[in-house]
Amino acid sequence: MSTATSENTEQQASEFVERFNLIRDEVGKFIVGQDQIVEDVLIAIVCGGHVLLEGVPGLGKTALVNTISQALDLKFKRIQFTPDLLPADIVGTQILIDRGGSRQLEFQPGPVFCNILLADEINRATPKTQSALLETMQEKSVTVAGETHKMEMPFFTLATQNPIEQDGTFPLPEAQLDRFFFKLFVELPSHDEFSEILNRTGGNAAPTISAVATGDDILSMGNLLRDVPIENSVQDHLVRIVRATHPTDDNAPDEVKRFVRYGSSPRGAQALLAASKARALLEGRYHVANEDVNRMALPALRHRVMLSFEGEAEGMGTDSIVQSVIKKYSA
Amino acid sequence: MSQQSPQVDQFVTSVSKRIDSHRTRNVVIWATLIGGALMLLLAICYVWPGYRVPWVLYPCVLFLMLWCGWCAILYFRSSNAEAATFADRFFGLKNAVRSCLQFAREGKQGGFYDLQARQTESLVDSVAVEDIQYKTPWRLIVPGVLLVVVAVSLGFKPASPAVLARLEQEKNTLAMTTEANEQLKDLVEELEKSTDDEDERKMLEPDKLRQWVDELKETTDLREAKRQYAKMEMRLNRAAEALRQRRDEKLMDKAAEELKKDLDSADLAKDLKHKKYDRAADKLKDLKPGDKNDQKFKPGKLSKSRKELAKLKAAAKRMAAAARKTGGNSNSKSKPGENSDADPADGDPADGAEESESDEDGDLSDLIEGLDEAVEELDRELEEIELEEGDGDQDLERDDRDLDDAERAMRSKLDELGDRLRKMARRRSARSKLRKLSKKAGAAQSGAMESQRKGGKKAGEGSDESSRDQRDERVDNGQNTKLKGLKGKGPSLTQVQAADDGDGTATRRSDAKQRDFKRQFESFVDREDIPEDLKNGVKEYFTNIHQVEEDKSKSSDEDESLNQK
Repeated sequence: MSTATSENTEQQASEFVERFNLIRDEVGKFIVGQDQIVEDVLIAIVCGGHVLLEGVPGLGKTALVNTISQALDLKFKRIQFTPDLLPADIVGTQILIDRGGSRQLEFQPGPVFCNILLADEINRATPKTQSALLETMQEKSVTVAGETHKMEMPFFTLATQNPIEQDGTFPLPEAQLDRFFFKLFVELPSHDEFSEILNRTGGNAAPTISAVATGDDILSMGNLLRDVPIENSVQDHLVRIVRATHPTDDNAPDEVKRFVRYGSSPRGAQALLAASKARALLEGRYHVANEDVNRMALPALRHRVMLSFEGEAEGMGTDSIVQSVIKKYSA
Repeated sequence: MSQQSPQVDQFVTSVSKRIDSHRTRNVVIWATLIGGALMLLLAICYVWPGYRVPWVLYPCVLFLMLWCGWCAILYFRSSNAEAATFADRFFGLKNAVRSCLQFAREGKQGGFYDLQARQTESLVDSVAVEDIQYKTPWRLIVPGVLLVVVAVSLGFKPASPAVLARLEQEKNTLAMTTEANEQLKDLVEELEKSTDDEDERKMLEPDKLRQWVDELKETTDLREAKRQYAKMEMRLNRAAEALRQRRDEKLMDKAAEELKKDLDSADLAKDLKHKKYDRAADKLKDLKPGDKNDQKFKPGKLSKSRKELAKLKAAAKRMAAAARKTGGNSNSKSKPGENSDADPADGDPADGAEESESDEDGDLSDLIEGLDEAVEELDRELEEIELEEGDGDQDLERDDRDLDDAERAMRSKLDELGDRLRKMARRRSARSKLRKLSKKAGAAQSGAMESQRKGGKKAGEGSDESSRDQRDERVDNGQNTKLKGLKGKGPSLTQVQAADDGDGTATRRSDAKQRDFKRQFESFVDREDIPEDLKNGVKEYFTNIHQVEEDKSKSSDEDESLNQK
């Protein structure tokens, strides 16, 4: 029985890796470079998390999300966030409908009722509108006029935002940020990648992206991840890293004590654990290693660390803070 | 251990043994380094002041290092978890071995756990424990060996001559103190046995002497030895002085009994009986023949002078008889001149004590007998002159000289006895005053303690209520004075005694006293930590004084030679 179970698990694990690589390859047909970003976005998706992509306009954030949605056989919707966008424009609203002479209020679902939601330039909307996504992202449901509407699973929000220094942007509140599984920085492509982008998009023939995975595939991949074991010392390592992002922790590095106001929440630790498990499987291992934790700590924790005034004034980035924590505990 | 992955267990055990082996080597190297440093440090501690390093030091340090090393090996022995962590890190197995061990220990099976165990087995098979090589820490080994070599080589260095001499001196001091203590004990026993007179034995207080001797310790420290013997000597001197006073008083009691038999000396006897020695001294002076202005005997008044001298002669005779009686009973009494050859600077404390007892003022009985002899001689001289006056055959010049000598001798003895009696009176008076003072001090001390306990307010400031609602603050009522003093700031214990009038030559007694002082002072200088500069200063001072005295004596010699010319 044990052997049968382990063989079954082994098969599931190999299928997980195959499926993941299939999606990645499919996305790679259109997206040039950005391998790390693509992998991280896909890890967040299989873990059931939301991703916040940050980068200056024109780096392909929206194209990446579009491509992923095409590679997955899922319902995709896009919301372009603007300052005049209202919460009802996102979650939906009740409208008065005349049905055979009788008028009644009926819920009209908003664009969030989908499997993949692209919240483009999310920080251009006001905080009020941004907050409309809170319940949607965490509870996977929408409550309008006292009535809760469950959303179809799987549901992922892939949000893009311009750097907050840009004009006409509203920084996301901490509660909103914490709901994102990962925050990824989209960097400028290299020279070769630039050339390749031009080659692929310069002609008339655009690459065709076909769906290689369904929603059920994504859910089953997520379920498999939960069974990946983690040894106590590795879990201790994970907890130590997350706790060390708090300035009140005795073992926090000096950078954290000086420049950090608040550290990561337990939700950050959960995200880190799930992402580490996914990475372990992708690396062909059946257990989580310290290396997985270290690798996934940056995208999972960077948006959960709030800089203090001094940190802001010194121009510190949360990446360097998290890296100092990782460095301390990797030695 | 896990049963599902014996290969992993074996691997971990091999790694653990290898780690332990490396740690053992490290412990040995560190033990060599630390032991070498310790040996060198201890060796320097011996060699620096000039001592020879005792060879037992090396085995002791070696044993200590072995013991510490063994403890360190046990303490640092690696566990399986530690070995697994090490293997994961060394071979880059990414927590595989550690995870496998833990899952097996927790009994987790199936699914990912089995896969993980199989995966770990294959990983373990792909690596060799022999790859964990020991890196020899030459940077520790070389200084460690050097330290040991230097430390051992220091062990061959002999002790310096000064240290050898000091050790020999300490040994001798110990032997000397041991022997001296034994001798003192024996002396106390002998003294107790040889003292037949019960009164004298009581006065000697042999139990107290024994206690003092028991307090003496055998020591290697010469200063300490001198200090304790000086203290002993001081105690014995005090005891001897008290004994002497009591013995003299006893003699005077006897003399009073004898003098009482003669009506002319009844008053003197009465004073002696009542221990009024100063008055007795005055009366003794009144017995002196000749006029009160101390004029010499006039040839025409010799018969009158003889009559006056008869009273003194009778008194002296009676007192001498009493002295002889008392002296016959005392076995420990020393005659003057008996110890003239003894050198008080020999350092024998018992001898010093005995000498100081007999030499301080001379024995009273000898003094009385000397007076008796001097009076006898004077009487004889007067009788001869009187006879020669009757015969008309006289050598006036010779007679005057003999009479003067006899008279001077008599007067000297009489003055000496008077002084001695006055000194006895002063001692008695002082002792009485000290006793009173002591009583008063005791009473004052107890009174002060009593008053301190009571507290209270100053005079005239007391409460008029019978009870108080709250405790009054303690007020200084002037009875909290504490005696304070500074060492060396008290009154001087030295006293200046005026020499007798007239010419005289140095006597054996004064020489002995000088030697005694010299010995005591040298002993004091030796045993106390007096700075060398101060010693030199004092030495220089005395040297200069002696030079001045020598110059004076030279000049006086020159004057005499000039006068003779």
